[in-house]
Amino acid sequence: MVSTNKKKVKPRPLLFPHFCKACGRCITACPKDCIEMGTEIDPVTGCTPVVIDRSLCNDCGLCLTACPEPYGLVPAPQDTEDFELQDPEDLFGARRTTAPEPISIPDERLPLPPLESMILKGNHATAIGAVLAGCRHFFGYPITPSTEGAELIAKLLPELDGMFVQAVSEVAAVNMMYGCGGAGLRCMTLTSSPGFSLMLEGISYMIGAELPGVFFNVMRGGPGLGNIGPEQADIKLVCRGLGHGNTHAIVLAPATPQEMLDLTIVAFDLAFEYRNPVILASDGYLGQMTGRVRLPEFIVKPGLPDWGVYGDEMHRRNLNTSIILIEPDLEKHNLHLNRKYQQMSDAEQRSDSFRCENAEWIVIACNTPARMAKGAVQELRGRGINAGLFRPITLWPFPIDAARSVLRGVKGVLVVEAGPGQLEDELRLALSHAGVHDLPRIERLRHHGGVLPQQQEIVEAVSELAASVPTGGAA
Amino acid sequence: MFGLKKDWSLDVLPRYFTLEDYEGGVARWCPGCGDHGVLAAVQRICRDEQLPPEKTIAVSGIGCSSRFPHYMHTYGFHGLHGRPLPVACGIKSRRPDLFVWVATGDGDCCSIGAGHWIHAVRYNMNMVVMLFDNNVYGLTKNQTSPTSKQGQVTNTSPRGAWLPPLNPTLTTLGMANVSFVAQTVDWNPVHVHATLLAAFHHPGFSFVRIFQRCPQYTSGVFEAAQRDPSLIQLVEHERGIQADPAGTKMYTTRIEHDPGDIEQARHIAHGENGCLSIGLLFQDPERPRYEDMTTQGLDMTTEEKVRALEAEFDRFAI
Repeated sequence: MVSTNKKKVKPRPLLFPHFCKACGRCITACPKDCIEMGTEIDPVTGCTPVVIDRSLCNDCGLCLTACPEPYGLVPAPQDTEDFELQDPEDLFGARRTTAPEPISIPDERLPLPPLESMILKGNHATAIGAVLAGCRHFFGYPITPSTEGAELIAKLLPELDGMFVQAVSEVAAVNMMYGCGGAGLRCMTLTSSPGFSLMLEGISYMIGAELPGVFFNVMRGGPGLGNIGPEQADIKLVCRGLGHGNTHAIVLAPATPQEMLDLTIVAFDLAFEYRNPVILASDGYLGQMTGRVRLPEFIVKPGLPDWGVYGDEMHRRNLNTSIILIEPDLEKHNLHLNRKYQQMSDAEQRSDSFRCENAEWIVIACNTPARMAKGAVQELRGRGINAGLFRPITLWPFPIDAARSVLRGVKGVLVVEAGPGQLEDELRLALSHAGVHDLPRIERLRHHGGVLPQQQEIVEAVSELAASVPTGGAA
Repeated sequence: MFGLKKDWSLDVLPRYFTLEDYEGGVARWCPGCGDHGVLAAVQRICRDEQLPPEKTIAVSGIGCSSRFPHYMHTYGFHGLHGRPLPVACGIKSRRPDLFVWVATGDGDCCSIGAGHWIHAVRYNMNMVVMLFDNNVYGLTKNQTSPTSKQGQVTNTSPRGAWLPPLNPTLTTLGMANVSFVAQTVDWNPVHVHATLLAAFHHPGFSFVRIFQRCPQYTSGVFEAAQRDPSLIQLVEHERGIQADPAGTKMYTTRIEHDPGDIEQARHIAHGENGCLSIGLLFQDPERPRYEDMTTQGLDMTTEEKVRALEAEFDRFAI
C-alpha cells in the first residue's frame, strides 16, 4: 500500500532529562551516533541523562522506539521554534492522582474487666503485654534466656488475628520487622545479647527510615557466647551503639515482671509516637523470674498511621527508605533525627526513686540489681544510715533532671550493676552534658558474667562509703 | 606431614596415640543422645589413622552437637551460631595440613548458617562436615528446626510445623561443586564409623548427614525405622561405604548405586520409596578445591617476598 500522505511526519527526538535514567538503549539504537552518555548529574533524579546532538540527527525515530521510559525521549512538537523546557509542575500544578490523601486512624483503648493478679514469668509478662498493646506480628529466633516469651506468643497470636514467624536467623527477624513496621503495623521481637548483636544492622536501617518496632533484649553474660546468666553489659550497645550512623532509641529497663508487662505496652506507644524503634533492656534473671502481675484494664486496638506502606490505594504514594544520596538532604534528615532525639530526651525521661528524700547516700541501679539495692536501702535505713535508691527506667534518655534533684546535697553515690560500668558511664555522661561538674563521691559495685550483686555487698559498700566520707563533708 | 615448609624437618619421636589421647572430659549430652556415638566414632578414626592431636581440630557452631570440640582433646573452635563452616574454611585456607572435623546441627547449618553452607560446599575444602540432624532445636529446648517434620509439635509450632521440611542431602546434591555426600543413622555405630571413615579419606568437602534422635524432644521420629530395619535402605557399591557386613546384615532393603551418578543420588536422597537411605550417595574426588588456590605462596622464602613487595612498590614510584 502506498502512503497518500506526501508530507511524511518525521519525529525529532526531545529529551526530558528528569525522566532519563541513562540506560543507554537510545545510544545503541542511533545509527548516526548523535547520542552519548552525559557527564552531568541531574540534581533532581541523581542520574546522568544522555546528551543529544541534533545537528547530525536525520529524524529516523529509532531512539524514540528504543527508549523504555514513557516520558524519557518523546517526539518534539512539529513546526515550532526551539523552546526552553519548563517543569510541568510549574505549568500545570502538581501531578494529578485519584488516590485519596492518607489519613491516620488513631489507636483505641478498649476496656477490659478488672482481673485478679497473676503469677507470671517475666518473659511471659512481656508476651502478654505485647498482645494487650495490640501487637499482632512477632518475628523471633530461639535464644536462651528469652525464648519463653516467643513460645507464649506462638501459642497466643494465631488464636487472635496475629501471626508468629520463627525466622531463619536474627538477621532475618529484624528485616521482617523492618517490613512490618514499614507497613505501619505493630511488631516485636524478643532476643538475648548475641541475637541482639545480629539485629543491630537492621535497627540502624529502621531508625534511618523512621519505622517503629519493639525490641526486647533479655541481656545475658558476654562477651561472645558468654553464658545464659543475667548481665547488664549491653547498656552501652542499646544507649550508644544501635548499629552504624546517627542512631538513638528510647531504652526502657524494667525491674519486675509487672514492669516487663507495663513497659512493653509503653514501648509500643512510644515507637509509634516517635516513629522510631524502642528497646527494652531486661536481664536474664528478670526474664526467668516469676512475680505478681496485675493486668491493665484495657486492650489496645491499633490504628493505622498515614505514613505506612499498608498496601492500599491511600498509602500508595508513601515510601520508606533510609537511603538519601544527596549530601545536604541527608544532613537535613540527620538534623531532623536530632530534633526527634532531643524531643525524646526532653519528654521521655523516666525514673523511680525510693527513700531519696533527705538521703545522704544514693544507690543507683536498674533491672534486677535494683531489687537487691532496694533491700539494701531498707536495711541501711534500719541501721540509721540515710540511704536512698535512684532507679533509671529509661537508660536513654538518662533521667538526668530527676537525677540532679536527687543528687543535690548527697555525700556519696554507689552505682550497682551486673556489668562493667556502663550504667555509671551513662550517669557520668549525662551529668557532664548537663553541666554538673561538682559531683559527689561516686563509688561502684560491679559483677560480671552472670553473677549478681548481693544485698549484703551493697549494704557493706554503702557503709564503707559512709565511714570514709567525713561527716558534714557534703559535696 | 609435620609442618608446611619443605626445607626443615623435625626428629619426631615415634608416638602412638590411644583413644584417651582424643578424649577431652566427660560428654555432658543427655543419656541416649546420638551425639555420644558420633563422638566415639570420630575418636576411633583419629586413633586408627593416628592423627596427631595437635594436627586435628574440631570446629562447631551453636547447638547441642556444637559441644563436640569440648569433648575432643585436640584443638577445638566453638564458634558462632551458624558460622562453623566459615571458621573451618578459614583454618583450611592457610593450614591445609590440619585435619578438620566440623560438627553442626540442623538449626546451625540449615537455618541461620544456610548462606555459609552453600558456599562452603562450593569452596570444597578438605574437611569432614557432620550434620547432626535431629529435626529440632534441642539446646534452646524444643523449637521447630528447618528439618522438623510437617505437623511436628514444638514450643514455637504449638499447632504443628506448618512448612514441609528442608532436605539437607538433596539440597547439598544441588549445590555447585559438591564432592561427597553420605547419610547414616546414629543408632548403627558400625555404619557411622564406616561412613565417617570414608568421609575422612575423601579429598574435599565431605558432607555427612547423620539421622539422629533427640532423646528429650524427638525420641520417636525414627521409631518405625528402628523397629523395622527393612525401612532403611542400604546404599551399596564397590566404591561406596564399606561397613562390616555383620553390622548391616539386618538391612534387607538394598540398592546398588554408583556414587558417580548424581541423578540417581538425588532420587535416593528424595526418599521416594519412604525409606531412610544410608550410605554413600555421591562422590567426585576430582572437583576443584579452593585451598589449592588459597595456600599459594605459603612456601615462599623471605627473599622472594621482599622481591615481590619491591616490585609492587615500584609501580607507585614517581
